[in-house]
Amino acid sequence: MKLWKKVYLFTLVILTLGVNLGVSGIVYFTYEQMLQSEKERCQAEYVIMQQNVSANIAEMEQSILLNTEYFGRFITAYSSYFEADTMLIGIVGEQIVVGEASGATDQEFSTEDKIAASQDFVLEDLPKEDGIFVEKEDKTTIYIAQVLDEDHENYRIVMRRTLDSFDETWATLQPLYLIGGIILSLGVSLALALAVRLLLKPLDQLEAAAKEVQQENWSARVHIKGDNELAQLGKQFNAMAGSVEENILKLEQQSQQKQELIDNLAHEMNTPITSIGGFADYMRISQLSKEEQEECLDFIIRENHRLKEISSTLLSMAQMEQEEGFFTVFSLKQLCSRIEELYTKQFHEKNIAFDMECKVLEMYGNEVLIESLLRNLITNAGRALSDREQGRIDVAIYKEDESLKMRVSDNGCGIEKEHLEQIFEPFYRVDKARSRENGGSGLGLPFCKKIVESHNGTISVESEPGQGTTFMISFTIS
Amino acid sequence: MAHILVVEDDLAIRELVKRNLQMVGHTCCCVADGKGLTELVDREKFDLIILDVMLPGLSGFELIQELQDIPVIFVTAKGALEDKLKGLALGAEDYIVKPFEVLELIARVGVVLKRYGRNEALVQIEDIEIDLKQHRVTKGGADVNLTPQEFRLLEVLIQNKNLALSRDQLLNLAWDYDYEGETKTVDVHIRKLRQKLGLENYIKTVSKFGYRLELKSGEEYETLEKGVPVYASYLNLRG
Repeated sequence: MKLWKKVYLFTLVILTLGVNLGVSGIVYFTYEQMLQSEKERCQAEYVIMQQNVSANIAEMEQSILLNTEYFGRFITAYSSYFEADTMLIGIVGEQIVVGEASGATDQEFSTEDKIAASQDFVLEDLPKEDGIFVEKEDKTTIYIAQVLDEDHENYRIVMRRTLDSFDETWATLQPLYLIGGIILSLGVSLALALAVRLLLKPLDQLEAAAKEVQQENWSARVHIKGDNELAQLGKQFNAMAGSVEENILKLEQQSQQKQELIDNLAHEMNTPITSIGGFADYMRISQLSKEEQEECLDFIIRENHRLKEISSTLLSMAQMEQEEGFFTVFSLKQLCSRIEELYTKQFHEKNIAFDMECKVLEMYGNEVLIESLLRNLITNAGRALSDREQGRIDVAIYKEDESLKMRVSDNGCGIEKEHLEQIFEPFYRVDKARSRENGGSGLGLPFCKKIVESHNGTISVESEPGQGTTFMISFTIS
Repeated sequence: MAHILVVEDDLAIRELVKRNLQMVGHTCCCVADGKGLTELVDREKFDLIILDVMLPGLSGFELIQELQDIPVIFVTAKGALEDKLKGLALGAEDYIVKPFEVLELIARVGVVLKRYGRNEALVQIEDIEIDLKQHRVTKGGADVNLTPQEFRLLEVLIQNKNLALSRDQLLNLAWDYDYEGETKTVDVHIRKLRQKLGLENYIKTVSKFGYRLELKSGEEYETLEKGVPVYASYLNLRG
């Protein structure tokens, strides 16, 4: 199932990337937003503080001389107004005055002490320039530094706030986001897997069905519900399998028919072969009277004739395989007069009245095969009349409506109803003994039927035992 | 000899089999299908039935079921293994496939008859008595000493009486299959038989072909009490 894995992995990677990027984006955005609001908050406080300090200092300057120490207390006092993690640092010239929010004390600390005490900043770390700075090394710290005002340029106020709670909040949020991201990714991958599997399940069905067909189970089909491409493919597959099944069955049937024909043929030929060889042997090794010898020779000649019939019909049938398709427009009239000539003499000798009437000039078909067709039927008619006194054979060829019709009728012994169905089957004989004596091969009518069918025609027979038989052939003229 | 029924729908084959069987001394009755078979079999006592499988109406395979105690040989064009097996399983003694040689049929008929003890056991030619069961030959009452091979040759000639057999055929029928000698031995043995039994008038040479044992039933001669057919040369008949 490599396809579904590919589809899956591809989609999964994209989705996961997307999800995680999204989550990261949100996380980053949130962070920046939070930081920004902290900054703004500090800034706001700073501004207020700065203005106040500025005002106070201006006030104080009027009254007393401001010095560092005083300034320090001043700063400390301010610090106490802020949150615990805020430190105010005043820088006068080069001296630093630190005010801590956490511990506004009355104690007198020297500046250096104060610096030493609050060791969480280093002088060098203090912003050299004015502005808002964010340090993210250990703890997130905001520094805001600015000159007090234009009148006191040697005073700089630096506000430092360590965002402990911010850091804390963030420390909790971050893993949360991470876990959330992972769970989301897993959830997505699972859901995706299911979705892909479900969608592509029909492919499994198709594969299984195709395998069945390959293993010669021709009736295998798929049942894919829905309307989508896979369902369409399923329908098409079923149609294909149906066609395969039909054709295979047809071929099997044809092959079986051929086999039956061959089997029957072998049987039919074996018998005359046995007889001919047998009688020849018998004559060789026995002392026979002249009369007996003649009897044996009669048998040999008759059986040989039978063999010839079978052989020639077979040849014609084989020829037909080649001729099939060789259609031309030929003169029916000429063909008929030729056939008439052929048969007139022998029928005259047998006292059979023979009449052939052809009203159609031309025909589109295979001349050789049509000739075989007519001759077979006429010969059969002749055989049916072998007992008759006043035998009659009529052949009529004419057009009726949209078809070309041929009729061959005789007033011979006729065929019983129960046999009419089967006379077109190879080797079917109504009366074996008789037809063999008369030289029938059993293949004449099946051959005729084949010829008629290859010309897109139909052949039918009507018969009345003792009265006669009529064969009707009808070709549709295109 | 035996009374054999031939059931075969093809006229030529029927005639062929009948004439050959008659030539070797059997009597035949022929029918073209299985109609009234049971009645016929009850009426006439047959020693053997030769039965075609593909018959109009009931097939040979179906008919054999009603012929339980008479040996049956199937003769047919259906030569597939399954058909043979079926035929034999239904109780037939043998199964011959067309096309076949008539000599083969005769030989197989002989084998089956022997199996059922219905073949010729005793044959008498003038004053020679041949006991095929005991492998004894007497002439004028006295034992004649024949080698096994000579006896075998004599037996083959009797079984195929009136049919000319080529030297090769005699070799095949009377000698073991791995005999690699020439047909000269046939001539030698024939000479011996003629000499020892005085059968010059009966064992005839067929020029350029082989030999034939001519035995025609003599109506003028009575059969012995044992029901043994007596043969006499037609020369003797005239005289």
